[in-house]
Amino acid sequence: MRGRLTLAGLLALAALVAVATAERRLQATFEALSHFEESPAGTQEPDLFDGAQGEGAGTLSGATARWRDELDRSDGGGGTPAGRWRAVNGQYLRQLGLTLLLVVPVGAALSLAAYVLAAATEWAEREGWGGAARLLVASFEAPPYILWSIPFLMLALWLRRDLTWFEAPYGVYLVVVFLGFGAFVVSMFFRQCREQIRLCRPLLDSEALTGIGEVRLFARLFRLQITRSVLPRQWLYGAVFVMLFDFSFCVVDPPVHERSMPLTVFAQGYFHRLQADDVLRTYGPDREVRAIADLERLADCETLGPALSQGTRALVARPYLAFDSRLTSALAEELERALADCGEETRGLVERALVSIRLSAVDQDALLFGELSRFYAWLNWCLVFVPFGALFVLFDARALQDA
Amino acid sequence: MTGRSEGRPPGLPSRRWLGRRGVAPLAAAFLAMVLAASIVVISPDAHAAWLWEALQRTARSLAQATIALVLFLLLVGCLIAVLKAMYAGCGGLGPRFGTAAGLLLAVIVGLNSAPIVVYVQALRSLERELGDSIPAALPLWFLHGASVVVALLAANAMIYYFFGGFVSTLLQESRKLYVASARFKGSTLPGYLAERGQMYLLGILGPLLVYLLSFTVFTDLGLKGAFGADETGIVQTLFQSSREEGMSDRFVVFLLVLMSIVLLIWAGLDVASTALERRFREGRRPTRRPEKGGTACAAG
Amino acid sequence: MLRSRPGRDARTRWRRTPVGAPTIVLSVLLVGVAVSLPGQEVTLTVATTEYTADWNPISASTYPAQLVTRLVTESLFEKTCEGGGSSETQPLFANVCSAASGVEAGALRLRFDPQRCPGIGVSDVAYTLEQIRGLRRNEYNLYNLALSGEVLEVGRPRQPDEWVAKTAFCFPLLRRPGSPAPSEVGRLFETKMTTGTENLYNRVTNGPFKVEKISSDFVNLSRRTGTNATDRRVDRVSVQYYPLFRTLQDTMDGMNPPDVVLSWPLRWEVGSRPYQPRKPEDLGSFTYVGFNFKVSEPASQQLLQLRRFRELFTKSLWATRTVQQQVGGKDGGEVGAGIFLGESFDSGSPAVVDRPEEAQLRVAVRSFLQDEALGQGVRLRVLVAPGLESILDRSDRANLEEDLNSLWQPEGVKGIRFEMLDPVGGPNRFMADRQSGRYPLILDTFIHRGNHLAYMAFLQPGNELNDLGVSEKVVKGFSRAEVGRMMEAGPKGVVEFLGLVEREYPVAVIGEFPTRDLVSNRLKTPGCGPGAQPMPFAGFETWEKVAGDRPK
Repeated sequence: MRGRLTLAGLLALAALVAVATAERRLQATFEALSHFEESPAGTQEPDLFDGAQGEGAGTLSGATARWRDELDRSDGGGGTPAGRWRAVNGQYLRQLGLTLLLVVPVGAALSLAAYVLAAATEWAEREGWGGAARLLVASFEAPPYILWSIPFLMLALWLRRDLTWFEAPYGVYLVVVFLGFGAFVVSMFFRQCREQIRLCRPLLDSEALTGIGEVRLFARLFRLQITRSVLPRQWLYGAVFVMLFDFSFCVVDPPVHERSMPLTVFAQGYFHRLQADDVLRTYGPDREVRAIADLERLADCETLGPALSQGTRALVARPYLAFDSRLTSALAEELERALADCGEETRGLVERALVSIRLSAVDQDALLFGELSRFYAWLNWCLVFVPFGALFVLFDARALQDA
Repeated sequence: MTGRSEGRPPGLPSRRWLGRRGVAPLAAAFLAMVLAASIVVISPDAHAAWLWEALQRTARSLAQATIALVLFLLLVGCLIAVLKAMYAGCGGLGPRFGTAAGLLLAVIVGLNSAPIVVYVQALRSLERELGDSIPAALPLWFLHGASVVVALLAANAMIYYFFGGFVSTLLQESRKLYVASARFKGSTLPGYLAERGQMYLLGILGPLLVYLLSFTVFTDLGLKGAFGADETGIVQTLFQSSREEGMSDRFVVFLLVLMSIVLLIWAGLDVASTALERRFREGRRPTRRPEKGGTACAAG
Repeated sequence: MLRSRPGRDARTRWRRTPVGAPTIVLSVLLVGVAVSLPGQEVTLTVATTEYTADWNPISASTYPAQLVTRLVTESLFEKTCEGGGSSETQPLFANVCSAASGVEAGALRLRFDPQRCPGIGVSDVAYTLEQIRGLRRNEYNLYNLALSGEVLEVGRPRQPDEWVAKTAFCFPLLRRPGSPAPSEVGRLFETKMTTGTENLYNRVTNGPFKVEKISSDFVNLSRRTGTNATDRRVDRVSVQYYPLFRTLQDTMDGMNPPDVVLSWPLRWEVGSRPYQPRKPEDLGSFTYVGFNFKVSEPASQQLLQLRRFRELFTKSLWATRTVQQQVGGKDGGEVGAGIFLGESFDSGSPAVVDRPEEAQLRVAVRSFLQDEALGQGVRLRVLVAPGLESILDRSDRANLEEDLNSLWQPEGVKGIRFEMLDPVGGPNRFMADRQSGRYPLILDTFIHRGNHLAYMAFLQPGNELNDLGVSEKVVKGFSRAEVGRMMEAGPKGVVEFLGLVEREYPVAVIGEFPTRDLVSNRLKTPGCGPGAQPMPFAGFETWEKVAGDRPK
């Protein structure tokens, strides 16, 4: 028991550390961003960047602005970094609730389906159709399990697109897709149930003598035996597995998730990553460093060179902190001092570049959505890790402790 | 993760069925091939070349899955060696063993909570980073193959399910009387457990192979074009086909060819495991090596 | 048992030493290296994210399929350059199979160049035209090409100028297969060209390349006649399909980047990657949201037939941030590099309109919704065409949907909900869905290549290109006779037609988004005169690839 508690403690600690790190980073991001919001107007994109002129001085793309407005509204009009951070967490928790609402019944359904199949096979064997039943089951187990998700995906798409006269709740589509993902594990659950039924054969035989029907017999077995030994673990494992699958697909290309509908946390992470990638791809990923690298070519100024190289090294070495306003303003000060001896042209170029170092709207977008997608990735990992760990501690570690 | 017949296809292991266990999958494989061939003949759009393409892609995916399987078994071997070092040498497996196993599995839980695609993307960015520093002598196909195989090891919850099941089976078995009394019979606990372990591993070969085959979807998706590779495997092709073309002839033909190959493998595994099982039960006694230096446990 | 004699000992010791895994691995590696040493052949890789199920040269439905058609077939003429030179607006054509270059009033006397296209004759042209006519939606059918004796004529428009005629004569030329011809070749346009049809493909074509292998996600071509081993010209072409943009990007940054990338999304920077973007100027297209007047749901039907709704919807599209970023201001966007056309189909004559401010539009939409007093939430689903990924990718569409919904669902009024549906199932499925009447709005691109007949046919009732169901009943002024008259009336008819489009909003035009292909810096391609742009794959057979070690 103590061993299990220790394990549980370790796992919980790991999860807490991960969550705390993610939250801290998110807070820091919002704080950093809030500095730049104070001086939005008047920041112009300098000529050092070819062509990428963006939406205009200081304004964010529509998506970010709207997203921030939504956040601020849900927070009560605060608009403070802390408020926004709270709002993001609130959104995550809401979507977490939705995800669990979808995944938990799916886990139960999978376990139930496996038991029904196992019971039916057992019954078929008793009735003498064992060969046929085994053949059927073998054909179900034979293909790579992941292929079972294809018919479910097609069903979900059919429900979503081809039924105009009936609009089921969006959750129904997602449940169908998740059932498809979960079909992967039904084969393994099936074996476990079969094994359990086999172990209970004497019990079944004696109960059958009392003359109750087959269905009641297996229902009773389910109630007495399966729910205690097999079901809880399978339920949890099924839920974890389905979440892992959704996680997987949402990193590459979610099949049914759509933007305007309430999403699972995995899909939300995907859309944030899309937004981050979108910004970076549109405007290029390394503008900040490029600006400073261009400046390095300016040779007519002795004082500027050393200041630049030091600053460049600082920014390149810790790109995240590049967005820390204190660091960039310190760099800006240093550069301005060094500029005192420089010519007009150099001064102009450097000043324009300095403005861009102060984090243009585009970079703010990139930073915001990048951090959001990382935040979601970490928390999603925790979301899978916690029930997985619970499964390990509650069910599987029991065997270890007696060793 | 429970039960002794974990991993074996459903079927009574009684003697009567031993000879016929491989028949059903063989017949089904033949049937699937015949069906695929007939679709190719009947349908106006289908061509015989589809069969060959399906075979090639299946062979590719299977090769990757098989090598990943071998790697997985090696990994399990290493982990077991580590755990074995924790074996107290007396009585049961010992608290050190339990602790070590517990910690190991906890770490595995942490690693397996991230889906395979995370690891695939890590490999991809590794390729980008290393880029020029990879020696030109290493052929690209080898690098691609290696990255696929390594990525497959990270298949969703695979290590936890199979390795954890392995450890759990061993632990359950170790509590049984005939194993616990090993040292009184001039042998050792690990010696007796080895047989059970081998049976378990043999039993999971089939499901494990199919599991790995399924996850080639993600490696094919994520590693396309990595190291210049341009071929995709059968499972990703099926997914792509169903998404882009729906239930077309091509999808069905590819699926049938895949099924027939997989069924052949199931049949082969059935036969092999049955034969080995028979040997274990009837004739040859596995060596239960006595511990070197004699048993140094206190009596009782 | 072995006797222990010195020499024997050594030998047995050696034999007993395990040969060892390391040795085996090393030898496998060496063999592998030997096997994988590059041969003398120059391969060019083309990457695309558009899936092609059918590579038929006559019914090339996707951009990669058009590229393969262009490489594997011959043609009479080829467009080489656009713009620049002595005549700014006249593109330059080059002869390929045609020995004559004079086109009088849309008629060409067929004279062939036996050097470039050995063995071709008038019967081949006749065979090609047969196949083209067999496929009704084929773009070349617009011109009503006809062969009388040895003269090839453009049937519509009558008396076209040289540019239009030569454009019409750029169709891919097939070779009549020798007798006895197998039954499938008779109706080539109906044959689905997938794995296994390579021989057939090569039999009916005779271009610079031939098809080696067609597979589900790649096509390999090789040169039909050998090249000198010391040539740097391309021997093999491999067209690869990438399901995900992200993997394509990773590959471009990786160890073996593709040489050509098709349909690189407009908004994405090339960055420091060694590629040159190429914008084909004359592709001539427009991206639109079509109103599907054949929709079965009555509420949507009613809504679509209201001119005011169509007008407001079109203007609200222009007002969304997404479209503005893509299409830019009145002078054209920088970021998206799309071209704002207003409510017009032709970038040559865009409609000069003032785009309303979002605030004004909100008021107008709100009052419209109040007047209409729509019932329970009306849901308008927008079916998105496959192949739009490079213009409006997933996140753009998500943003567009949000923008539209925020505009059309004001507080306190029963509004309209828009839903973008991602493409699933390829071009065939999309066509079927489009014509099924389930989706009231369709987001697609219409490619007219500067041919006004094409976009007029698109809206002519009864024409096979008009699958949106535009007719007099639903949109005023669009009757078959009227549009037909305008089609025959030359430039004046075009002006009239565009005026009608501007007034009645039969479709909601978003803008023109010319595709952009990326060509590697390691490729040497033929150039054009000063200020002229080379057409994307002009003179492909002369392209050269500068060899190198592992690139990057």
